[in-house]
Amino acid sequence: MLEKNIKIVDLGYYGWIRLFDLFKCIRGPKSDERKPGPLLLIYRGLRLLRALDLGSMSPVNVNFSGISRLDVLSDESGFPVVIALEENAVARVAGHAQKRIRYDDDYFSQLGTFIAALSAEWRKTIFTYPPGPARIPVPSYRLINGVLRLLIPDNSILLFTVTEREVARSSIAVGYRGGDFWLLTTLEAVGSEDADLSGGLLGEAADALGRKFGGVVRVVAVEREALTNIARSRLPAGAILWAVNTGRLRLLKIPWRWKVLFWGLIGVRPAR
Amino acid sequence: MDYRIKGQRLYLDDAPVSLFSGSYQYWRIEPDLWPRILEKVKGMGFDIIETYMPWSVHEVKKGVFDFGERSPNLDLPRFLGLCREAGFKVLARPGPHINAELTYFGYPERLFADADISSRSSDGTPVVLPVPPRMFPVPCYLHPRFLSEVRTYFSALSEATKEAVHPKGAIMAIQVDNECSKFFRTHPFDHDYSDNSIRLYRRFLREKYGNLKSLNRAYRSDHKSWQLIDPPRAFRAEKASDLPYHLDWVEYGEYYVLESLRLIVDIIRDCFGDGIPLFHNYPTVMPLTPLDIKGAEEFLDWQGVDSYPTKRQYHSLRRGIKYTSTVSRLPALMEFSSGPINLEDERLTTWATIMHGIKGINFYMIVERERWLGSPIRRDGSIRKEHYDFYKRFLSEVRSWGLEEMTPYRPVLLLINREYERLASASTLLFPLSSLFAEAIGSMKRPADLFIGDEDFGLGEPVAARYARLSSFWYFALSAAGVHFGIADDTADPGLLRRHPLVIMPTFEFCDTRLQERLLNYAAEDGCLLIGPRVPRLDSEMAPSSVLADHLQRPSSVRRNALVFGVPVDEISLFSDNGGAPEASMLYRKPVGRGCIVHLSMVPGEICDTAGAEPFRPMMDTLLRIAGVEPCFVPADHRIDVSLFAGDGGQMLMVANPTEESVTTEISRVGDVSFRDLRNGDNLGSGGVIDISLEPYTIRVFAEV
Repeated sequence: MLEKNIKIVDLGYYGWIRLFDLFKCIRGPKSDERKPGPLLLIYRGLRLLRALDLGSMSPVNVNFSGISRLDVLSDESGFPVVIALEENAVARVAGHAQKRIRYDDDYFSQLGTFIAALSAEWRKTIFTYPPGPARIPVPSYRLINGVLRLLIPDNSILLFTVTEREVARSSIAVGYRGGDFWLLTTLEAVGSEDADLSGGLLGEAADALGRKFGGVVRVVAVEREALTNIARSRLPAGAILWAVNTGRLRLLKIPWRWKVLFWGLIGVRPAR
Repeated sequence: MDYRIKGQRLYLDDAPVSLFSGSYQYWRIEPDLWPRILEKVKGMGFDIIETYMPWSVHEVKKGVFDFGERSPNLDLPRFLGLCREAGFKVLARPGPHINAELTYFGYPERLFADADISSRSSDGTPVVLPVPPRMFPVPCYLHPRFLSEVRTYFSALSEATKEAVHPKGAIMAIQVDNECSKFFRTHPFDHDYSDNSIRLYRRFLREKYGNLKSLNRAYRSDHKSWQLIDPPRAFRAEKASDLPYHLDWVEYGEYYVLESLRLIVDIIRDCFGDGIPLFHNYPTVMPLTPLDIKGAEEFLDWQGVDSYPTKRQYHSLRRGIKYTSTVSRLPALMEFSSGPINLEDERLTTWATIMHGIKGINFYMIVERERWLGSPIRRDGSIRKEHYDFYKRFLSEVRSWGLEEMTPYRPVLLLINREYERLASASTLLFPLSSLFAEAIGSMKRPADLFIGDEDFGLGEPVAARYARLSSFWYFALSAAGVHFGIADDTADPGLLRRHPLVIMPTFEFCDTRLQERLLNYAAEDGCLLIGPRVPRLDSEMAPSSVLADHLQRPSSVRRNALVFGVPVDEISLFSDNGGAPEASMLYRKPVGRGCIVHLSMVPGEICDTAGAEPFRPMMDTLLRIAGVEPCFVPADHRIDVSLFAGDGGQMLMVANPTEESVTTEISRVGDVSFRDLRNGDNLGSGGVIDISLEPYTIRVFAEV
């Protein structure tokens, strides 16, 4: 799923920084009210070695009476989520994974080995409150690979760009070929970071990208303001449709399977 | 090659080298563009190119290498020739480990098929580095087959580049490996437990103790043979007498890293000859256990550090640079951000390194390439003007202002105790995550003991956690008081100690006897030694040792959760006999020889910034007065950072505002000297106090008029 020699190239600079800034933009302004973050407990037997508020990364004092009483601890301390790790839990997870991991396996398969290792330690040295599932399901690599192959047409480049008044603000393009993600790039590869994408220029940029790297470029271009609206909307599907109809969300060469999936997911038939 | 290092500068053929370079990875760039890009790098003012020479890229198949015979982009001799033609020297970094964001970090993939060469974790499993796009088992550098493979590559490389070494060619120095640090998995009980490593561990013990009797005395054990001594697999010390066995393994980690480097040095010397400077780079700006600058410089010409700081990590960077620039023979950043970090951040951090004594920087990457972004020169040779102009101006200013020749004025020395650092490293919680992990996720604004266990091992207090807090306290207390100070560790030689009228070292119940003697000698020879909160009464083997204790008092009482200057502290001990003062005090001065020892018994609480340490300014003034150090160039605002430099051309002053607010502050005790802003020509005038304004995240540079 991840090409061993994945090509990561022409990431631009400002575009990439702006891409990360998008998360802040989507999340909206931070509330002044500080909520307690998850509470991390590191313990040995019945002895608590450290309690950390992961929200503020600061130590806190709590009464620890063993991993069977995390519910009481949560009630008393006011931390709604508690994660308790035996002091050597990470080492044990690493140990399980290191026994099985192969250097020439796909990266996602290697990650799967770590998830399986985590699963092996779940409720042995790793506990949470609320308690979570009895066991952590390990997703099948073959299943995920199959789903990806089904979803993404072979030899595609998926271009996602955020625009501001139709000028590229940030972009990311991912190449998928032969069942592997093999390319990570941006519009910088075919022009400036702040390219004009108005009218037919978006299609031209996509074609240039296709010519440079090979493959069909499938484009989602969204105005920043529309993206924020979609992300914060209580009815995202409606916001998406509105953005498409107003031209603030532009889609090029979107495969039918994605459209079917979209309508399937929201459970609404397209209006005529 | 005719070279020497003197006064923290490298001289080649008797000429000083301006050690500012840019990283340029030739094999990732179209060969046709090489000359054009070199021209652009030259245009910025660089005279040195740094490049990796990756094993995995040049190796076609086992034992067969391509240095341009088949692929033009691998034509290393041509690239080195072009560098020479363009007037560049080259820092060569052949690995074997290079990272360079390459899959498998530059090792040929075939190496990993040999499971025997892997480093082993405490449970015997191969140690995996979990990096995309492929995790891989890290090699043990002690393994003969691994070293044999490295020798094969280096032989071929040296053959391909033999005409390119100075004075015939451009290569002026070679880096030994890259960020050799147990592959960032630095928790002492994580690895390496391979057979080769355990053999080396036993050799280390033999060298340290000489005979089994001494070892058995230290360990309270009855070992009959070196071969039967196994290392600890986890930190399971319960009492003080268990510590020597466990802490020896932590110390062995330092020996292991140095031996790994030494073995690669031997191969490089065999292949490239003895006459070329060798250096190495640690992956952190604060290289403490298992890393050791001074140990590495016993067989390397210089030991650099790497850093990719943001402007908000100003104090982490500053603290590390103060340490490196005090300890290293040639303090240089062999990788410093020139790419993914925001340029705004870089404007501050780059100048901050110079401000605290760095003498050379390799900007990584000055030329963009695959798997990198934001360099001043793009892959196609075009430039990012703002970035390009910054470096051009930076180099021009550093050279024209003579900053490479200047020496920072630092009358105070803060000593790091490596024994306590080892204890803190062993006590890092969430094994095998290490202090490097803690450093990565927690800035200095977090409590220093956030991930350090608080067991006391019968020593009466959690030494590791308290030491971490105390180190943090001293750093911020000295900074907030505007004290000019350097940082070294307890391996500092007497000459370094003597250059500082005041030396501060946190001490607890145990401390190496030879170190105690060295500190006592320093004090007796007209020094002022500040120790505390405890006076050591045990040595490293937890046997009685009273070198310092013989001169000092026991407290008359102890107050827990006290207030000092209005700030809550964990504990203070009070001494009744404090030079005739009517009240008991937490601090007293004891004359020793021509100098003195000052014992400060305070155990501070959590101090993680200069604001928290600011109330302790009066205490710092008292300490400086006791040591006879005249405070100078002290900013009224604790957030402002001032460095004073001295050189042939007079004094220079660098003033930093590492905050997000504009600040106007007074700087006191300027004396009769007048200063001029080197960028805008503003004259600061002279006299007792000067006013200075600084924009957020900026550094101003002034020279004596």
